[in-house]
This record gives sequence, structure tokens and C-alpha cells, in this order.
Amino acid sequence: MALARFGIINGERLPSEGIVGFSPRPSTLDTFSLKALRQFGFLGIAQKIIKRQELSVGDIEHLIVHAGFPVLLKLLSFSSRKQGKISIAPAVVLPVGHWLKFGFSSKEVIDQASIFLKSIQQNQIQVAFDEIDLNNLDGNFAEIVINISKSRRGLILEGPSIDKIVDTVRDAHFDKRERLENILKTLRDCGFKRLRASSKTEFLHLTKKLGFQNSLITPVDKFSSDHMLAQELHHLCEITSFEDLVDSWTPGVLGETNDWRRAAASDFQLLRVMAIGSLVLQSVPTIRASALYLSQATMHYASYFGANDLGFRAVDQSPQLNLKFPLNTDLKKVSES
Amino acid sequence: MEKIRVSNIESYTTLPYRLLSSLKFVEYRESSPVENARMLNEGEVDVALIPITEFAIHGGYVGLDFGIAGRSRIDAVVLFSKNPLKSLKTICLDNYSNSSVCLLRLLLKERWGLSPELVRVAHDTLLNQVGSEVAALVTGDMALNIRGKYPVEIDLAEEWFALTKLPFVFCVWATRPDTLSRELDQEINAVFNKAVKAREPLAVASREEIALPVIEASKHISDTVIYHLDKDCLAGMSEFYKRSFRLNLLPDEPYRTARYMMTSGEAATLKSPKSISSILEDSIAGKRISIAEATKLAEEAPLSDLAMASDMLRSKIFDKRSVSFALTISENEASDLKVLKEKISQISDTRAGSLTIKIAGAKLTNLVKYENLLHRLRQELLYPIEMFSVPDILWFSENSGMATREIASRLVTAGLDLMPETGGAMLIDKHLGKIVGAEYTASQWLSTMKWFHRFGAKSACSLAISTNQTWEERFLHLQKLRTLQDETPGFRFFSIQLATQKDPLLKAEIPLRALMISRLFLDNISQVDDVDLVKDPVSGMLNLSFGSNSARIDLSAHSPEETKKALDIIQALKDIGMDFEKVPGAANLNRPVLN
Repeated sequence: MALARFGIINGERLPSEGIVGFSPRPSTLDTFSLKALRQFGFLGIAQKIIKRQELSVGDIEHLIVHAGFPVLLKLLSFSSRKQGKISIAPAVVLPVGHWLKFGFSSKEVIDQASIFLKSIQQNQIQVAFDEIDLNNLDGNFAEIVINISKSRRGLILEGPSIDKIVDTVRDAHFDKRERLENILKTLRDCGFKRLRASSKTEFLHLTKKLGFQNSLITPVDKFSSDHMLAQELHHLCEITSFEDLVDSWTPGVLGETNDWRRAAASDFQLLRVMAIGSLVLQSVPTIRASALYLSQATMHYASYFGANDLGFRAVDQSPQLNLKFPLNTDLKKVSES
Repeated sequence: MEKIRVSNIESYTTLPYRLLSSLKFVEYRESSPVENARMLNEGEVDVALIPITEFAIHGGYVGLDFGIAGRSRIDAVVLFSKNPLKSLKTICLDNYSNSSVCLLRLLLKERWGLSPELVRVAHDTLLNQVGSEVAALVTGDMALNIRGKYPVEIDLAEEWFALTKLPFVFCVWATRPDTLSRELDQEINAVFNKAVKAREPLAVASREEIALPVIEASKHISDTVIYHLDKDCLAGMSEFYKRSFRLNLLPDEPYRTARYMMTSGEAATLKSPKSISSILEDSIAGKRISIAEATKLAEEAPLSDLAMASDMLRSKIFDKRSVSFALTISENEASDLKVLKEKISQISDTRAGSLTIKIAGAKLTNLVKYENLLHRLRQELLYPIEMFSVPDILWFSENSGMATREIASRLVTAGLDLMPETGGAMLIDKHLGKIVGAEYTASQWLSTMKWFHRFGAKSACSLAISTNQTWEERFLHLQKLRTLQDETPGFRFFSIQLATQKDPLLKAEIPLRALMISRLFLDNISQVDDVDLVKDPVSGMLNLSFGSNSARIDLSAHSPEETKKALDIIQALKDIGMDFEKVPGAANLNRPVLN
């Protein structure tokens, strides 16, 4: 298994050598499993999973409310999802927008970013950008992104969320649909391959048609009841069952918290929802655990509970440090002097 | 050619087997039945004459169809008493053979319907214990030598025959399935056959070893003892295993013979091994599993099945999970009541409910001094007190010349309640030194702990996982804990520990599997603690999902903030639906902790 040597979390390099992927041994409904699942109250759901039948909203809600970790492990072992090698890829956010604001030339930005990306030994790197001015995609930014995307093999450029793009065209005076398509085409031509999707079928179809991979995040704490979360997962199951609309699904949370109890509850709950999502969304090839939402310790166990892709994200100024660029504050001093 | 290490039992009864020493490829030795089993378990010998109980407990051996058996009276396993069975309150046993003890338990239950207390004592003090209400189960040469000297002498093989009309097999020659080639197996069998044929002259030649008249000594070897395990003997053994499994005395392990199938040259087996599903079902039903079965679970069972089984068993024993706390104080703090009171009042502030006081750092150099300290604390404190460890006791015994039994007796009488698991987290001699730097054997650790249990103290036990152990070795360690718990049920809780935090292989699956199977294997230790919750909440949460029933938090090892974090995490676990007993809270703040 190819492991990333590090991810970047909160400004610190995060070693990922310690993470050992887990692939469940194929399991059958033998006499013990039958008895155990009946006792836990999940035999019916297990049989549906084995027969590849769709789980109802009620089934999903039952899982959310009552399934403990042992049952979820067992149900996952029946799942038809092919558990290949666990992918653990580093991801970096390049603060290109900030650098340009502070007067770096396009060439300087491209050169430094390319040197940095080449220094990472992994075959695949996910690359995101801090700011993308969707109204001025044709300027320097496009040139920079195109050049960065060609700087080495194995870069997966992740664009803005579809919701953000839709917001941009909301006030357009002429054909909004055409404007939206134009932005998406430009992003595609720049080299962006993946977009953060919304669960609206209309946009999923559009982005797919234009050749993007749709990456969907479900913020678990957005739903005020277990029933609503179950409905959302069921909806996602329905829209992904017949067409390849969603390439990856990540359970997440809306906001960060400094409250231990909430953070721990969120970690434990995300693991459970990840397992349930992995069971429900059988047509989505990638179930991603993201270090944006899970603690490092929890990432260790993500592959036990359905994740087949572990993503480490850079979320602050650390890429600048890694790129040996001065921090924003230093840049201010430079420009003031 | 590498020699095969063979261990016979040191006894007059087994003298025909001494012929094995004539084989050039054999490195021959003699020891007790129990020690033979330990040596075979831990790879110190290749072939050994072991109790049939140990054959079943291990579950991975094959038998050579020779052993020690008796069709009716055998004279070598006898209960000596001054009064009839019904008047007995205690039966003393030695550590010589486990088959006879297991047979005694079975007969007490199924034949006599009695339940006297069974107490292990040193072999050489066994007969000193016999009194009006106390009998002794005596085995081997000692039994042969004293027959006819007590008013009541009950031959256990004779009683077994009366119950089943089958012979009783006490010991069997055993080895691992892949140890003997076909040729070696044949050569050893040829010597066994020769020994059986020549047993009479052998008996006469060695008659001075036993205090019996020549004729009786010769008759014992020639007629009474069965050496070749024929069809009847195997049926007797099978019946014993069946009854013992039913009474939960032994795992359900059929005897497997090592005789080679003439066509393929492969070792024959009489019965196919149990499926993973059956092993799990049996263990949830409270049946005892063998070392080989546990190893099979570790190597082959899906993690999800182990998780469900361990959680089912946990919930069968405990409705809800719980939290316990420990406070470690220094000897100085323990000596100053004012400081101690203050410390304990701080604990109350952090909502401690089930609390243990640990006194750390004391060097056991003056027993009277610590007896006085414990006595004073016992008068003042309502909480259990933990102090010293088995290595401390062994060190003091070595330096003072005082027996561990006496030290244990005095410390427990003075007020010691709990002994920590220190030094006993991997009780396999070859690993013991590597893991804990110990200068004692596993058997010394166990026998010392046994005295503390015997005098009423409780203790912790654990399994320290490292990557240089095999699964079989881990379960051999657990078996030693299980055996001691059968004899003296003093282990109060068990936990899994990591020998190192740095090895990524020890991060996830291995410790989880070890925990789950420990829950199933240790059928006589109900409390399985998680000790990770504060430093690794996710591991702690999974441990509590997969077999642990209690989170143990050492308040002294963590800051108040960390402790609060741990309690918050427990609340978070409750938030996601995990059942916990009420975490002690404000209502306990004013709990009177001092008399």
C-alpha cells in the first residue's frame, strides 16, 4: 500500500506512516452471524445488504439510531463494495490568490508551486486553491493553474463547490444556465477535475456531462433529526443508484468545535455515519474520511468503518511555509517598507 | 541430526518409558506432569507425557496413543481421608497433575454430589493437612507408598470406572502435529511397544525406587497401569472430555492421534476441528475455549464476528458499562493523614465514585513498618488500598529469607486489598525478561499472586502485547491467568496493554483482536477494563464497544483537565447511545470518605 509520508493539518506535518489500512475478511451469514444479528435486531437489514436490495429510510434511521460498532463492522463485511487498496493521499491548498495580491509574479508563483509539488513523492496529490475569483477566470489565474497542473503527473485539481459557482451566477442578468456552463467549462479547461458537489440532481448531471468528478460532502450536524439524515442518505442512494453521478462521498460537519465532548461525539458519530453511508451508497466508488473532520486517532480506524480513501488536507497557511514563501504578515511588512 | 527433546514424568509408574533415553535422536529428561505441559506449551521440549486436561486446554496437540491409564483401581491417584467423604469440608491438592484434580471435580459433582473447598498446597506438605474434615488427593509415587495407611482411601480411577465402565487416562504422550516425521514417529512407537513388553523386568530392576514389596511393585507396572491407549482407553478419554466440557471444566477438544496414515504419510485426525461459528457460539454460552481454538479465532475469524461475540458476552455479564478511578499517592503522602485527606477531598471534587488508592514508590525493606502503615490506613480509609507488586514481594522474600506465603499473609492481614498486575503481563519465561525486565519465572509470579488471592486480596491482571509474540503464546499467558483464577478467584479485572506505543502494527487490529478474544477466553474473569480512554479516546471507545465493560482512569496520571476530558468523552459515548452506569457526580461530593 502506498502511503503518503505526511499530510498537513493545522500547520503541522502529519505523519501517516502509522496508519495501517484495514480490509474486512469476506463474511457469510453462518449460524453464529444469524443468531447474533437476530439478537442485535439487524438480521433483516443484513439480508437486504446481502441481496443488494436498497435500504429504506426506516432501515437507515434504524441503523443511525441503534447500530453499534460491532454490528456495523459485520454489515460492512457483507457489503458488495470492493475494498481495494486504501488510498491515502496528501492534499495541499495553494494560496495562489494571496500571493498574487501581495505582488508575486505569475512566473514566481508557478515556479515555487511546481518545485513544491515535485518534492512530494506520492503518485497522487490533491490540489486545491485558496481563492478562485470565478468572475475573472480568464486572467493570470487561468495561466497559473494550467501551468501548475502540467508541472507533474498525478495532480488532481479540486475546484470550488458547485453551490459557490451557482451563487456567482445568481445575479447574472442574462442566461444563468449558460453563464454557469461557461464557468464550469473554463474551470475544466484550466485542468480542474473534481468539484465539491451538491446533492441537487440537476447540477450533478451538469457537472458530470462536462467531465468533472463529483465529490459530495454530507455535513452530519446539518440535519436536526436522525430521520432527516436518513432521508438525505436515502435520497443520495436513489440518485446514485442508476447513474455514476457521485464519485466520492465524505461525511463531515459544518463547523469546528473546541468543545471536547462535542468533538469526541462528532468523531464517534462520523465513524458510524461513514459506515452507514458506505452501506447505503453502494454505487459511490469512493468513501472518503477527511482529516478536516476527523481527529488523527480516528483516521486510524476510518478504514474499519467503510472508508476506502483517507484524505489529509492543508487548511491554513502552512503551504506557504512549506513553499518557503513569507507569511501574509511578513508580506505586509515588505509592502509597507 | 537435531535431537528430539522428550520429557517423561518422574515417577515409578512411568519407568517403562525411560527406554526412550536409549534412542540416539532423543534428548531425554523427566519432570512433573504439569511442568511437562508447560515445557511443551512453551517450546522447551518437543514430545512430553502430559495430563489429558492440558492436552484439551491446549487443543493443538496430537497424541502418540501411549500414556498412563487405569482400568479400575490404579493406586497412583488416591484421595486419603480420616473420615468419610460426606464429612469433608476441604480437599488439599498439590500442583503435580491437573487430570486428577479435574477428575476429582467431576466425581464430586456427578458421582458424590459434594462441594468441599479444593485448596492447592505444596506437594511435600500435602499429608500434613489431613484432619477430621480435611482430605488430601495424592498422586504418583507418594500415593503408592502410603496406600493402606488411612481409614478412607478412594481410588479415583476405580470411581470413574464405577461411573462409566470405562478406563481413565491420566496422561498422554503428546507433540505438535508437525514435530515428528513418519520415521521418527515409527521409531518412538517401536520403543513404546518394546517398553510395554519389557515392563516387568524393568519394574523388578527398579524396585528400590518404591516402598512397595517387589510383587506389588511389579504388579502395579505389569498389570494395573495401562500404557498403550487402546480403543477402550480412547473411549474413556472421550467420555471424560465430554463430561468435563458439559461441566465447563475443559474445552471441547477431541483427542487426535499422531499415527500416520499409511497411504498419504500425513497425520491422521479422528475428528475435524470446530468451525469458527461453533467456537464463538460455545464461548458466548459460557463454554471454555482451548488455546488452539483461541489461536484459530485470532488468525482466521472475521473481526466483525469477534466484535459481535465479545459485545454479546459483555452485555450478557454486564447490563451497562462503568467507570472506575484510581489515585496514586506516594508513601510520604500515605503516611501523612492530613495530606491524604486533602488529596481525597480533591478526588471528590473530580467526581470520583469507584476509587482505589494506590501507594507507589515504597521499597519493601521493613515489613513491620508497612504493616503498621497499612493497618493505620485501613482504620481510616473506606477505599481499597493497592501497594507493592509481586516483583517487590519476590525481592523481599529473596533478601529476607521469609516465605512469600508469610509476607502475603501479613500484608493482607494488615489491610492490603489489591495487588497490581505489575511484572505479570506476559507470563511466558522467554518473554518475561524482555518485556518487564523480570528476574523471576512465570511460575514464581503466579504462585506469589496465588497466596495473596488465598488470603483474600484481589488483584489486576493483563496481557502486554508486543510484535515478537505469537498468538499461541498470548493465549498460553491467558491460560495461566485462567488456571490461577480457577484455583483462587482473586483477579478482579483484566486489561490489554501495549508493550510499546510506537509500533504501528500494534495500533489497531492486533490489540482489538486480543481484547475481543480475551473477553471470550477468560471465562472466569468478568471485568475487562479499558485503560486507554484518556490518552486515546477513539481506542478507548472501540475497546468499550468490543468487550471492555469498564473504563479505568488513573487520576494521578492525568491533569484535572484530562480527567474532565475523559468524563466528557464518556458523556459523548452516552450521547451516541452507549450504555453506562451513572457516572458518579455531584451527589457523591459529600460522600464520607474518612471514618
